[in-house]
Amino acid sequence: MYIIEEDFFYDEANNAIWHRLSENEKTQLPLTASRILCLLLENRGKVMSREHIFDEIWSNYGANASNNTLNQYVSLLRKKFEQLGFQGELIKTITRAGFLMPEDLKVQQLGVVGKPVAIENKKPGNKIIIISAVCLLAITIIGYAFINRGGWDEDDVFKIGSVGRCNVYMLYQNSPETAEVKLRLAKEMIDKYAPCIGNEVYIYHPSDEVVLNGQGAAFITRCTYQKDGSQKFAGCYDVYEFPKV
Amino acid sequence: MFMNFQRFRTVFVVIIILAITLAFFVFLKKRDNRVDCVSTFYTVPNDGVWEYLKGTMSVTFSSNGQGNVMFSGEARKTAEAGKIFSFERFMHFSFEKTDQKNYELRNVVVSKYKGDDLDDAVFSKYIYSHTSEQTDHLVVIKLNNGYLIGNMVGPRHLCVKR
Repeated sequence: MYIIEEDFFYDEANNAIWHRLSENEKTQLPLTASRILCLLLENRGKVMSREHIFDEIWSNYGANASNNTLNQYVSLLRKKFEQLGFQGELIKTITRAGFLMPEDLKVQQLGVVGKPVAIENKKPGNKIIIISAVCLLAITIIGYAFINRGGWDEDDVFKIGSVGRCNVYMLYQNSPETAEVKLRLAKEMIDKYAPCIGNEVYIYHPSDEVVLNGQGAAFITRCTYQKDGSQKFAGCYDVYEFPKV
Repeated sequence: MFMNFQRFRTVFVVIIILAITLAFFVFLKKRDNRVDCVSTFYTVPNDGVWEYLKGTMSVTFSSNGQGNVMFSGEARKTAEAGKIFSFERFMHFSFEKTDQKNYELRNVVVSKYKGDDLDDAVFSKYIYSHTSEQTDHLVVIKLNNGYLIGNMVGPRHLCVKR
């Protein structure tokens, strides 16, 4: 059962149409006209070619029909709805293409127990939009989880060498020569204040004065990793040495 | 004409999904602005008077633009037979994140706890001091699950998320 534009009922099982306010005055449709109406309702928004209608309504039932017969049935449907008070265009004729039931026609399908249910929209576009939006959401969440999976991006720091089994990094890129000098200075601080115990990492940041004459401020931190293998830091031990007075 | 129910439902679902995505990003953005970490530090004054100042620092930058830093630890003098002083200070401020790394602090107030017997001048010189207008500038760089915190000169702490 269909409700068209809120006021017009169509019972496809009994091939009847009627107005909401005159349920007792049902108009009986010929079986063929009913099948055409049903086909157009199920394919709202799609131009149904004459050939397709012939196949669906006649050929599949072992019959044949002419263009004129089809036109008569469409005219009959328009006329019957007009007689019920339907205003507007129920079925459009698309020249040299076929017939179209407008997509913006308000149609509801009643379920078995009389509850309105939406007619399944066969347009693939809507599904694509929903699937795209869900994918967008999933990609966002997976991307965020991937970015925050733990560990650190070594693009943020630059390795200058190792002291024992511990790698030493700086916040900026160094030439091989300056990296060697800075690694030596870092090793002095490491040996003095925060020795390499095992698999830790150091981040070293000396002032220019330290590099030039050994008399400036310097920062080094020794970070240990968490035991779960996530490459996240468990804690860091920061050493800051002021310039010698 | 009336809007097709099916189309309305599709638009509604898409709007809901986009709203969830937007809310998710807003949540991440807000979470990104939050800093809650702890650091262990050892400072060497190299002044011939103090041997070291060591302790822990915990930092909280809330999403409402308010922040706290708690310093606690001890300072050992080279002189006076290695006398040890304690410090325990709470710093409160309001902040504004000016870009990805820079924070402007305002209304910085440092309070001293009862057991703190370290001279203010020593604390200001070697641990933390703000301007006379109670403002400061911090540089905070996210590194792994920690924050490298310092000033314009360079980093002073690598504070690890709690």
